[in-house]
Amino acid sequence: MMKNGHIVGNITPWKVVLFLFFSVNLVFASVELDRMLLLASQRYGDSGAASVTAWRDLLTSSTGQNEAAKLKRVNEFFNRKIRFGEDRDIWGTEDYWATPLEVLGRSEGDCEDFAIAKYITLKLLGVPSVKMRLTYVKARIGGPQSSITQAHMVLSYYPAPEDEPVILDNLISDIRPASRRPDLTTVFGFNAEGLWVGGATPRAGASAQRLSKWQTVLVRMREEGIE
Amino acid sequence: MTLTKQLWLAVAAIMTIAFGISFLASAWSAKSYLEDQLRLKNVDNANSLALSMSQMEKDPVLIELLVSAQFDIGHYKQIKLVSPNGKLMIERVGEAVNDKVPAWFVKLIPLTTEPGVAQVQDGWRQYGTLTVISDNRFAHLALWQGNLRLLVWFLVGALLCGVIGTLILRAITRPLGEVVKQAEAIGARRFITIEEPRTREFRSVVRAMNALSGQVRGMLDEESVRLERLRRDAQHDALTGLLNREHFLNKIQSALEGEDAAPAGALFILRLPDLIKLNKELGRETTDTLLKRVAYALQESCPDEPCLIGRLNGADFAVLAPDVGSVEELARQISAHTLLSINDPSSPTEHAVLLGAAVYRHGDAVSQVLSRADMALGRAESEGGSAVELDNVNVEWKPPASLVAAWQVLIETALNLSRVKFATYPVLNGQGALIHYEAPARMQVIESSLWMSAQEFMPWASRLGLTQRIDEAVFEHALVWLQSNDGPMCINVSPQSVCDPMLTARYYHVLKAAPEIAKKLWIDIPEFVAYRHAREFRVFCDTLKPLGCKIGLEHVGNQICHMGELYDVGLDYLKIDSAIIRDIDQNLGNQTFLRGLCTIAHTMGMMTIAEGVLNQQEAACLKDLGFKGMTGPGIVLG
Repeated sequence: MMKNGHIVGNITPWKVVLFLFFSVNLVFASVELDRMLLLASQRYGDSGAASVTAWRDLLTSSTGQNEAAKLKRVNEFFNRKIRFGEDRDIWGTEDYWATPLEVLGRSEGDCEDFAIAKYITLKLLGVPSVKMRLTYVKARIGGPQSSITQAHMVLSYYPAPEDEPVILDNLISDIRPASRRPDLTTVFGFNAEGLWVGGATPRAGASAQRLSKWQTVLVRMREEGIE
Repeated sequence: MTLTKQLWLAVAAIMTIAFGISFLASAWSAKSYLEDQLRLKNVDNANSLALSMSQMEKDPVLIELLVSAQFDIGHYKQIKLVSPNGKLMIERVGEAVNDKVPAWFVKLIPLTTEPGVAQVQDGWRQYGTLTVISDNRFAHLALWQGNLRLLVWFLVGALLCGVIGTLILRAITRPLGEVVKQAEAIGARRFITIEEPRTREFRSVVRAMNALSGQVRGMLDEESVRLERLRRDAQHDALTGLLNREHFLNKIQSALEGEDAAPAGALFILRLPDLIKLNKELGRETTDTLLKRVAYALQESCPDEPCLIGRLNGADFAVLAPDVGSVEELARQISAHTLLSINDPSSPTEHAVLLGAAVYRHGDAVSQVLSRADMALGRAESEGGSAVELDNVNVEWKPPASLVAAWQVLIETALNLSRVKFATYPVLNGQGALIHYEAPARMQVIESSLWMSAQEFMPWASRLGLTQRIDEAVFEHALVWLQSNDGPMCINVSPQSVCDPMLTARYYHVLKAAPEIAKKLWIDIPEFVAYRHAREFRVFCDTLKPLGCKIGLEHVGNQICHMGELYDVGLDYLKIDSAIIRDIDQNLGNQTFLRGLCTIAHTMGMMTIAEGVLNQQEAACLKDLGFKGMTGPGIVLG
């Protein structure tokens, strides 16, 4: 911790390893905030760094709160801070899954970017991932009678395994139970448990070609400092 | 161990290591690849099945059917669905039978794959957690077969390397074989030279050995010349170059007693009665020239090889003509030639020549034959002038045609009935131990059942061209004898047999089949064969010597000057002619000669054996001179 100043100014792989070792003592055991900050300022400038700092503050201030409070804060943080945009406009490609750093850095993202960022943030705050699902939903847009539907992704939170989930959505600002979201129809839900199994961490590089989108995001996240 | 064997061992070792390494490398890379693939398959299949289930009506039967269908159609070890509160809802487990891959292989390269886990939803509610584990039997099978193929390729590769390596090695070591042969030959004191091979290392070795052989050969040539000089000093008249009295008398004795001498012959004594007068009239030098002319005339008049010419004393010369055609004819020739040589047509004085001749039969005493010839000479002298006196001329000693036919029948009958055997005379070393038995042939006369000695029938056999058959009969008898007797046996092989390649080949095949007997067989060949039929003699030696039998020359003594030529034959022994051995203890000249001969023979790796040793004085002297073996009437196995 004493060496933080040096590390920010002069990063070498060796020192990163050293730092990784010391960072076990951090409040957020699996995130290297300093590294994220550095990357954000390098890639996105001051605004990016500011976003990451705000996110860090969110993490710090939410520790110790109950899960409902954490959900509320995180949901609000991203819904407020991040602008909604289509992947094509933001990244220039169809259906790009962004990491939290990318989302924070550019302060924009689409529905799955929101869901992933919230999922990761809650996980960092200690919410077990078995309670969360990244859920593909069919969203009806434009009121109960509308026939316009859209592919959408939300984050579902299950307080208990057999409970009805609450939905964290970027389309509306507050968190509602699923029963109060008649506009959404579930299609499929997943979390890190099924796709990212135990110790079988994919080796970056060698198998990047055949990783799924979800796994690609996880790999990139790790490179950016989030385990 | 041969180089080829070592090469194969090296190839086997290298290939085993290479196979081991590539097996490990390929197995581990295949293992991690297969594990990745299996894991992805698990994850993908779990998710797609969960996706299908999430979309369906959650009828338990339907869900179970879906799991069963997936399980039965696909390749899975396990599919199970667990409710959110941990209750097992459906499970399908396949039996892990792995019949085609040995258990040790599975144990050696375990494939650990993570199961695929996915969540099944019922609307917003969680329905269950799906776990899918694929069957990795097929992966193991593929891995096993891949490694078997690898092993086959390595074996093929090793075989190919070994074969190519062997061929290359053979090409490299081909000159080495020649080098080794030469080294072995030199070790056996056969100083051969060979062509220098192209390989540089071998070339320098061969060059050195060739140089050694050359030096030995040069030394032998020098030594033979020196020996020849010694022999001439000891055995020849200094002035005329004819045999001196001593040696000539020894020779007569051999001719009368030797096993293989002719059955009959004639002895001529020539006297120049006017020698003292001539010496006074003409002076010593002219007389010496005259004597040389007489010697030359005698050589001219009897050009046949077996004739021996000697100078008995100042005015007396002698000619021994074994197996001569006509005594009178030869006597006429001798006196005509000598008269012509000493008489100058322009000079008024005529010098006389006296000639006496005596016919002898094998077995006659030397003194008798000499006195008969002296008597004839006396008669010629009393009659005055040049005279020819033939004593005993009426002895019927030239066989008539009928006798030739009779001998032919006699010999052929004995051969056909296998009435051939041999006598055995021991040849002993200096300590009195047996070296081998000499085995002169004996042949039975069928009618009388008497056994004839070799000197009786061999001249006839030679004349009738039957020597090869006799040699063969003796050879066969020797084989039989050697099967039941320990003592090495020495047989004689005639010049005709040495020059007969068919007979040599037959000897070879028989001896090759009986290597124990070959080691106990010694073969005597007359000295002159080695020089007069040098090529055939070498073929004979090269063919039979590798089988283990010993080959040497007998009656050695007359062609010592050629001995250097034997440098690359590798003979085992020399038997020195009895004419030189006779009274050796009193003949200082011959002692010097024989001492030199023994030294040079030992240098060439040959044993020296004395023939015709009569008594202990001779034996003791011979032992002193360096002889390793002796035979003769005075040598008896104690």
